[in-house]
Amino acid sequence: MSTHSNHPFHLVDYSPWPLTGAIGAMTTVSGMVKWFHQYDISLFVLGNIITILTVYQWWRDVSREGTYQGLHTYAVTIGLRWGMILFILSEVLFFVSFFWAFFHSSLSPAIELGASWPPMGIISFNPFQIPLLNTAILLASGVTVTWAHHSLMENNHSQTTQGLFFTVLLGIYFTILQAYEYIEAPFTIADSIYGSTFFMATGFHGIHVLIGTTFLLVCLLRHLNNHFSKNHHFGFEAAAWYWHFVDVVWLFLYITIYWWGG
Amino acid sequence: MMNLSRAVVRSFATTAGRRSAAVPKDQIEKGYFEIRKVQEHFQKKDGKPVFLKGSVVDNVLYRVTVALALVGIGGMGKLFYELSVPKKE
Repeated sequence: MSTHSNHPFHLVDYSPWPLTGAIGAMTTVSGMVKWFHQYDISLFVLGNIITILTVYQWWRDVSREGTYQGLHTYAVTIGLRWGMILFILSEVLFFVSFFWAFFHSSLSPAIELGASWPPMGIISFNPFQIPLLNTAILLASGVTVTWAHHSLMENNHSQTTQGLFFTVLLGIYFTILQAYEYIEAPFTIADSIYGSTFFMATGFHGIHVLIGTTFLLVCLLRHLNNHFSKNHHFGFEAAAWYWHFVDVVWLFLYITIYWWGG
Repeated sequence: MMNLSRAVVRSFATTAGRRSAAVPKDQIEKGYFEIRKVQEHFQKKDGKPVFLKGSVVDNVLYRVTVALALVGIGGMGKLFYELSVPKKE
């Protein structure tokens, strides 16, 4: 491999990770079949381990190519940006389906639900307690991640560290509070369409918060290892975009499901 | 429409590059200068692919991952056999 070429694009090396990733995903879903039929989770766990090992090494290699080998030229970063934009767009459409299901049921509740929303027997959360606190937390984390971004662009290493640290901290705090809400919930996912749509929407949002927090934590570690410069830090920008997306989804969730639909 | 697309691309493509003025060395985090050693290591022309270029740990991780993948394939094969050929009761 040579880092000197007559074009700005990155022709990726041969890599085993797409293959092991595919095997890991197949093992995971086959493991689910085994789990359901034979009550044995060993294959499912193995699939997850293979997948985790693969994604760690795959992204490690991408970081190496970008930071150590200098293969992420301006043209390459443009492609990465479009890739991230399209990924976030697919996530938006993913959540549209949950909101669609929620509005489908809530705007015209069926007679089986008592023709009312929330359905009969459902005690919904008070939107002005922990949900409002969680809203403040995520909005604050949006500020801190922006603070980190601007600090990075100003070549301020310590401020970037602080901004990223507080963002990760707020993300963890949000997750803890949401877990507490789930523990104290007066209804379950099986309690009518309300429970289903509530836990599907907020549950997947919670998973995305975990993913975003992990993403930002990795960026913090990379920053502490001096991977980012003021001009070359798209990995961080991708994490920031993703975090802002998670934040906006929560705002929609809070307004429609907790506040209006509660 | 093409001009609008280009304008959109231009606006988000230049986020990081907008502030590209030179920075005095004393304002740069010291660790950045140590990155050069790592960069030299990963840019050696030793024929190793990027996923094995780091250290011995890379090799171990790679082999473990492949080994587990093979075990996974075996496990899937066993599962499909068991499900397709049920035991006689």
